[in-house]
Amino acid sequence: MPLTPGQRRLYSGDYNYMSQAWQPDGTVAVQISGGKSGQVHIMHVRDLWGEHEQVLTEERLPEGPPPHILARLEEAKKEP
Amino acid sequence: MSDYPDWTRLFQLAGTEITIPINIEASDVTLPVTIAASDVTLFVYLTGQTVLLQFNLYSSSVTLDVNIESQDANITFTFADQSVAVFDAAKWFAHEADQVFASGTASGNEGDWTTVLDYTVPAGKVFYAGGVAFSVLGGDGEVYSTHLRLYLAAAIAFRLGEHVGRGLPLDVPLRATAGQHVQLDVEYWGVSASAAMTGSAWGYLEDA
Repeated sequence: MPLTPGQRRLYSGDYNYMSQAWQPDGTVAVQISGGKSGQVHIMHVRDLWGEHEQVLTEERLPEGPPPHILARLEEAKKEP
Repeated sequence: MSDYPDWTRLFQLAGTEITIPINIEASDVTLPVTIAASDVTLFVYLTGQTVLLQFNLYSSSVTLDVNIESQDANITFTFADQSVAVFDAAKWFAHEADQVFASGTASGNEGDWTTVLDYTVPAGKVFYAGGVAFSVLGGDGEVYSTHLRLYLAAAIAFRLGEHVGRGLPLDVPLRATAGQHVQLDVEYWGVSASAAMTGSAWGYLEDA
């Protein structure tokens, strides 16, 4: 089975920060962020790192700061 | 050297402005400077109101080797009145955005070893762990003893114990290669009900 985009980042190392929340059923909620892509991937994985690893759900959060922060950053660069 | 007489030639240039241009243009240039003697002293003093000593190496591939072979070697760099950054490895790799912070949480029961973090080193990389931390949150009960096992590639690399948790910078980085697991397992005593546990490891990645 081909790797999902999140798995590809997991195994290529394109992230700086990883958070794992181990669930009672043995699955793991994994969040990775940073890296060259700057994206945040949130995955729910069964058998993490195992032979039968399976990504149950995967979500990619929007890149970078939200639009209202970007607008303020741009405004802060300008002379008042 | 005894076959040759002693030889001394003094180069002395005195003037208000002295310019010595050396221009060598050729398809291939070799400029070897070889000094062979029982004792060698080579001083370079640059004294001026402003001193510019510039080395420009322009090439598709540059190799700059400095080899020092000696029974005793002293290397001193002194920077004053400057904006010079000298990074150690950990800070350099953070500067290059190769830092890794991995953390995990899990719930477990008293006396059971529970995995709170399992990190696998990515392809083509070497992971150097610079520190670990763990904790146990007992809820409405009191945790009085916690233990951490750090597994490197399925074998215990070291153990750590404390009251409710602790952090430990590693003065010797723990090295793990691509595909190896760095796994933190935590055990606690003192609360019979399930407790929340955390574990973290941080470090940096180098290309293998």
